[in-house]
Amino acid sequence: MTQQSTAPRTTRRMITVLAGSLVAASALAACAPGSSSTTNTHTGEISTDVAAAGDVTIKVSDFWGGTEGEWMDDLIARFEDTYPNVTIERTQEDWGQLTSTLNLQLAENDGPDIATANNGWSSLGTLAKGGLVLNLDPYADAYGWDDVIPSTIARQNEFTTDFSTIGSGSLFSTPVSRVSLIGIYYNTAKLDELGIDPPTTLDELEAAAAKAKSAGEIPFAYGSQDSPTALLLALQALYGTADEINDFTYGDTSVSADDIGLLEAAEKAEEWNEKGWLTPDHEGIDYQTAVANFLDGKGLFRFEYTGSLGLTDEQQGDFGYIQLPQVSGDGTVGVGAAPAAMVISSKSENPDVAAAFLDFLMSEDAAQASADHGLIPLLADADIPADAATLQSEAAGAAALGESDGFVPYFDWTSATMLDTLTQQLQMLYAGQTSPQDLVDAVQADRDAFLADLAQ
Amino acid sequence: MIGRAERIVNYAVLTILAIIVLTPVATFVAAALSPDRSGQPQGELAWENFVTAWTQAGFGQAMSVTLTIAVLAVAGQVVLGVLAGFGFGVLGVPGNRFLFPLVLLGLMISTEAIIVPLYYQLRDWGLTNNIFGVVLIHIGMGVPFAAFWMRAAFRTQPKSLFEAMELDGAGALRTLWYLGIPLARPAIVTLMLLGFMWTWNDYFISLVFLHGENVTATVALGVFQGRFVTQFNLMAAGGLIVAAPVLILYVIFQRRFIAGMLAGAVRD
Amino acid sequence: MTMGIRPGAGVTGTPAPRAGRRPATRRRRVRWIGLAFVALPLAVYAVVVLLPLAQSLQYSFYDWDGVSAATWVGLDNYIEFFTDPVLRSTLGHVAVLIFFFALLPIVLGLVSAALITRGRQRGMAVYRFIFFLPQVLTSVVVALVFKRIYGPEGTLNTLLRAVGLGDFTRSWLGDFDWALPSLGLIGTWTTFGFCMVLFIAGASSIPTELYEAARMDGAGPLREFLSVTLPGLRGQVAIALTLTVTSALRTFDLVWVTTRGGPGTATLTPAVALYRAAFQNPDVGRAAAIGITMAVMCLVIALVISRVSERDS
Repeated sequence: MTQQSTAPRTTRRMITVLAGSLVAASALAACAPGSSSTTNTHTGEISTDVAAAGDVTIKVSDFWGGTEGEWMDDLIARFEDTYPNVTIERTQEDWGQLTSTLNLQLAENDGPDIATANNGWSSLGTLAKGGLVLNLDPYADAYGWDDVIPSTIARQNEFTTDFSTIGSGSLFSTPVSRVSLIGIYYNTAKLDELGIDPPTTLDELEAAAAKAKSAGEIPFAYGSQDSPTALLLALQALYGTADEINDFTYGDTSVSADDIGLLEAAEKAEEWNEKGWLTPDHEGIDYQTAVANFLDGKGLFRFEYTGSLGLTDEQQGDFGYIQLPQVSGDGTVGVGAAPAAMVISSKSENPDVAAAFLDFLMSEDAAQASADHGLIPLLADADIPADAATLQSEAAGAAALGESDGFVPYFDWTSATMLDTLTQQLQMLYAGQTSPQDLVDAVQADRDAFLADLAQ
Repeated sequence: MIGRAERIVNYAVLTILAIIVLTPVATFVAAALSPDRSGQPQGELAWENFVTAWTQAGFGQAMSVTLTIAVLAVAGQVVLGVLAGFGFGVLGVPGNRFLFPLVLLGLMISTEAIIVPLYYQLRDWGLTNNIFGVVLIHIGMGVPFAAFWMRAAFRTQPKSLFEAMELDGAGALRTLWYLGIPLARPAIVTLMLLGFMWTWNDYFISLVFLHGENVTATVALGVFQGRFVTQFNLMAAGGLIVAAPVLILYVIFQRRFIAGMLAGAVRD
Repeated sequence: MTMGIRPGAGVTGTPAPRAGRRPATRRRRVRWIGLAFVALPLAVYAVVVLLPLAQSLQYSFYDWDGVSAATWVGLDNYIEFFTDPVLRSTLGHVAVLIFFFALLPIVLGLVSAALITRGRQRGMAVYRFIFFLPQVLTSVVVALVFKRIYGPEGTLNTLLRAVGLGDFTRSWLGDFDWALPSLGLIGTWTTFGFCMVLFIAGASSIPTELYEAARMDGAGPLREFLSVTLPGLRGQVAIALTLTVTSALRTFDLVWVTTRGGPGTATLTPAVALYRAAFQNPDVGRAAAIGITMAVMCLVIALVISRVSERDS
């Protein structure tokens, strides 16, 4: 330790050197980053004849594990059976890992042909805008997808070609024949114990929660450390109209955050928190723990994305699903979307075959496969096994949404940062650091900033 | 000499602080050996937790990825460090006054300052999600410390030896191989140990650059902890598995580790 | 990005530059060989570190989503970093972390160095081994260890209940007021042993005569510490301060594995904001600006600390 006296001199010289070399290097790197933009309009003829495509390998990257992964493997095997000339190589990745690296993977020369993107601006929007994924309009015409995909679901995959608007314009991704909803699960055994029927309105739900609380049960199994928003979004859908929530999410500035049921939902969440209806210490409980708690019987209800509980065949029937109608009594609105947006890479050498596979993922066969694997079918009718009681109630929820045309997209598609904003605001709400109205204002401000940035 | 009272105070202070350091680690080890899911220590020791964690989390694959990266990166760092250290320390380099500070600058540049462009640059070269890309990053970022360390090591050796060999007509490479490297062996070993530890323990670079089947042990542990949060005993066992290689080296070579890390300042 | 501290400049006595004794012609040849030796290391270093650094600076003046064409925005990204309330709050969080990562461990280290009498201790190697342990543990494991301790059903709450302080239990990492200090204490845990060993080693090389002289002047333990030990450790304190302050500024792994910046944005650090902007909500220009700002801060901190410690001597 004898060299301290030389250290500062060296540091100063290093800074001089740094400044000099940075100026020099910046001068060399004069052009703006990312200026080479590829095109994503399909050139040339398209073909729907897969058998004629010759020997083809298609790479698929998706984030489906567990049952969803089995569903995918099953459909890949069937597609390969139908077309022996096609080989599909599937890579399954962690959800966060794939969404955060997809723009880079798609830009690689040996990247995937097909991938699961997240709908909304931050994932699909960026990919489409950057020309990394194909505009699928020609295939939609060729396969008649317009007739297969309901308009509320199709909107979730659309952008105008100037990328100023989401929710209309060209199709840049496709759904699959199953759906993921947000709704309420209940513990069947506990409900029986308490002598409560499955609630059919919000009032009944609250009455049940009060009864559970006084019986010493936890009404809502919850954790708000990392993923607290399902509760808020489910409540929002009970107050806001489907049109207004859709339009707000897709950037229609005539609809403000005050119009979409968010205030009432935030007030309700705050009220429940104060009444002690949520799991104690939920601010220190992460998502996985909260799910595990609910499955372990610690809690009567849980707001959850369908498919996320990972119920085994034996657990079918232990938990029921409720899609509550609107507070106004006017039909049913709920968050629902295909579990991913399927995109085709602009770099794919066999986009025709890739499109044929996407078409297959929307087929009646695929819908039936969903039901067989315990997943909620969409786009086509499917027979649900009689012993799959939970799935029956989930499919009933999806049907109710379909009848009212009440699908609304995930709210975090509104902007790239909306999920962070909602999570932070909700945590602050529970800690008494913000009010429901401030939460609504923060949501509005987030969207304003995002739309302003987009318009630049 | 120090008195008895002083000695007692010394040991009391040291022991209290040692307990503070060890307690969290000890509870973690106890949890890893607990048959209870929540990791509460029980009477019996569940050594099978390590097997379960290993098989369920796919640590085998992740550990071999990390090991490959660490070995290649350390080899690269040592070769480049020896070359640069010998060049700067013994042979002399034109523009020394500019070049060596430029290298030392790297000691002060944090990963965050370069990670974003590095990502896009490696993507252009097809080196994202590629362990060789990550090896290249570790080597490049390791050059400043390796050069600095080896230069210091070569400069502590008697200059007259090098001059004598040079007078005998030996070339620079020969001098380095037969004289410099044997004399600097202790410094090289320390460099290898520190380089191995930094590469093995890296989280940020792996998190950004590697995914799918290429994830490293530290990132796999992060994913594992999300998925197995309700089985804390397995999570703790997984953590110990990931920490084990460096811990074992630390137990064997503790003097070198401590001396190497005490010897300095300012690096990542 | 590991929690551990990496050594570097300021090390073991490097001899003064040698005077050129060799004949000029001969020396010239040898020096060009030297350039050949350093060429490869320099090239790799330039490609991996220097070039991206310059590009980072360049990106920071653009608005870029990482995919489509970028637009020049001048200093907007920097202005945003210092005006956006959430981004600016990360600097406040860093200040809190500096207290826990730097000041607290250094004070603890100094106190223990003062308490421990100089001279060889039996078993010191064992203690040193223990105190350095947090330095070699990978940050993910450190985060897991403490995530458990701080959990709602964690060790800390169990302990509090056991001693009748059940009212103080909380979700330490989920609490707006306590999450940041809780994270900070993890930093204290990882760095204080390092500081302590550094200071004890430094104190043992202070010439004994200085202590004897102080005692002859009638100095008590406190005076002795202030007038002999502390000045003698100035260099070590400067090194420890530089290392710990920069590691506080750059905290990522710990936060990412435990709180991801929450609750709300109570534990958001510049590095986490950078990661989100770079790889989650693509805003590459902003990410680059955060990175450059952090790098400049690190350099300035190192410079200021070394200047101050130089001036005092």
